[in-house]
Amino acid sequence: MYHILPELYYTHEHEWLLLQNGKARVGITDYAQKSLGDVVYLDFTARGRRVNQKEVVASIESVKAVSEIFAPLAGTITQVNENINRKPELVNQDPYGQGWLFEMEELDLSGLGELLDAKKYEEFLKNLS
Amino acid sequence: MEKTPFYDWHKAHASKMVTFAGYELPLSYSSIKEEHAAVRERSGLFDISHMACFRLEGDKALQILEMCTPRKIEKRAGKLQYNVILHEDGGIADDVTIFTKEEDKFIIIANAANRQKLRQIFTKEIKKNPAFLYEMKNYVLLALQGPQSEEVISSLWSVDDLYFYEGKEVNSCLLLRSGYTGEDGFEILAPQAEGMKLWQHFLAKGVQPCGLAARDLLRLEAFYPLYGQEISDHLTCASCRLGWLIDEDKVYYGKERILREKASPPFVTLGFFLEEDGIPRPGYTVYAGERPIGEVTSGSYSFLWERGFGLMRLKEVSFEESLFLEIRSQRKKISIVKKSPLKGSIKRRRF
Repeated sequence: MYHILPELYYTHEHEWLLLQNGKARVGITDYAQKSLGDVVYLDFTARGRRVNQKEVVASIESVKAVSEIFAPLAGTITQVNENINRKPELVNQDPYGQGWLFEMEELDLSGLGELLDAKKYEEFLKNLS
Repeated sequence: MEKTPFYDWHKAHASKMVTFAGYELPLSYSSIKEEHAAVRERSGLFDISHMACFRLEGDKALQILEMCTPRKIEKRAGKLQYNVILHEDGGIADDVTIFTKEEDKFIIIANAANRQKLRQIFTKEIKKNPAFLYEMKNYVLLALQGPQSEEVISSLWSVDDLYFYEGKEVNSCLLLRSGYTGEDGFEILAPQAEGMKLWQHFLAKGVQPCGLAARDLLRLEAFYPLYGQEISDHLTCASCRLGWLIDEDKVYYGKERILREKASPPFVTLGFFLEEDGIPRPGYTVYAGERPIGEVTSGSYSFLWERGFGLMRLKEVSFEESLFLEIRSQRKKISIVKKSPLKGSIKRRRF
C-alpha cells in the first residue's frame, strides 16, 4: 500500500505540493518513489527560474529509470533541496519529509483546480492498478 | 505471459514485477541498493528459471556444438564453459554456458529471449548430424551469488573440489559453480519440487532474494556483455567484448568473417566512467570532440564506485581526445575504463 498524507495536494504525475504562507514545497509521492526504486540523482534544470505549470523543472534518476519532474503550479523556483544529491536515498526513505525536492514562490494559484486532494489521489492510484 | 514456478512467491514478496522475455519476473524485492550490497558482501538468490536449458546428446553432439561456436568445446566431463551460438553468417544468436556432462552429453543454458531461435538452430543441425535435443522443462534454475555462497551451499553439499566454471551432479540436481555477477556463486538446475525446497532453504539461511534490476547492475559492474544490449545477431564476437572466445584453428560458422573482424573490428565495446554527475542510459550518443563515434549500450549508477558508468559501442576508438556524452543537452565528460575495477570473489582452479 502507498502512503498518502491528507494535508497535501497531488498531481497526476505523482508529485505532492504543500502550500504554506504563499510558498509551496514540492516532492514526489510514495507511489512515485516505489515505482522509481532507489533514487540516485536529481538533475535540476530550472533553478531560480520562473516556470509555467507542468513545465519540466528537473529529472530524477533511479538505477533503472529516469523520470521528469514537473512544476505543479506556475511560479518561481526559489530553493532546491541540496541534500538530495548528497543523500538521494532521502527521496525513498522520507518522500514527504526530508526527501522534498524544491520550493516555489510567486505562485499562480489559479492552477490549483488541476491538482488532486488526498482523497482524489487515492482514488487515482486505485484506478491505476 | 509465462511464469516460473516461483511466481506466487515473487508476487507476494516483490516490490515490483516486470515483463522480461515474455516472463513476469521480480524487478526487486527490498531495494536494488540492498540487493546489490547483499551479493557484493554476503549472498543473494535469484530465480533464473526463465532461462532456456537444452540437452544435446549423441555421438554427433560435439561436432554440432563445434560448428555452432567460435570457442573450442570443452571435452572434459564436469567442466562448464561460456561460449556463443553462432548464426551461419558468424553473427551471435545467443551467449550461453555449456556444461559437459560426458563427451557426448551437453547441457546448454541460454537466454530466455532466444529460446525459439536456438531450438531452430539446433533442430536444423540435427537434421544434418543426428543427435538428441531435449528442452528441459519442469526444472528450475537458481543462482546463489556472493562471497558467502560457498558457506551457504556447504550446508547442503561439499564444494571443496568444485571451482569456478565447473559442475557436478548431486542427487537429482546439477550444481554449477558459476554466475554472471562478478562474484563467486552457484547456479543450480533442479527438478521443480527440489528447487522450491532449495529456495526456502537458502532464504532460511538468511540469503537475500534479488530481482532483475540488481542482476543487471551486478553484471554491468563486472563489464559483462548482455545479449540485446552489447551482444546482437548482427555483430560478431570481435565487436562485443568477446574476442577472447575466437579460436583460429577449428572450423565453424562465419569463421572467415569473424577472423576478419577480429583483425579489424567494425566496433569496439568498452567500459567507461562518467566523470560528472548524472547517469548514462542506453542509446546516449558518445562524442569525441564534436564527432559522434558511438553509443551507450548499457548504463547505470554504481553503488560500488558511487558514479555513473556503463558500456559503450564505438565505431572508432579515440584515446587522445576527450569523450563526452550528451545528457539532456548537456555535455558530460567520460573516461574509458578497459577492465572493470571490480575485485570480486571468484575462485578459479589453478592449473
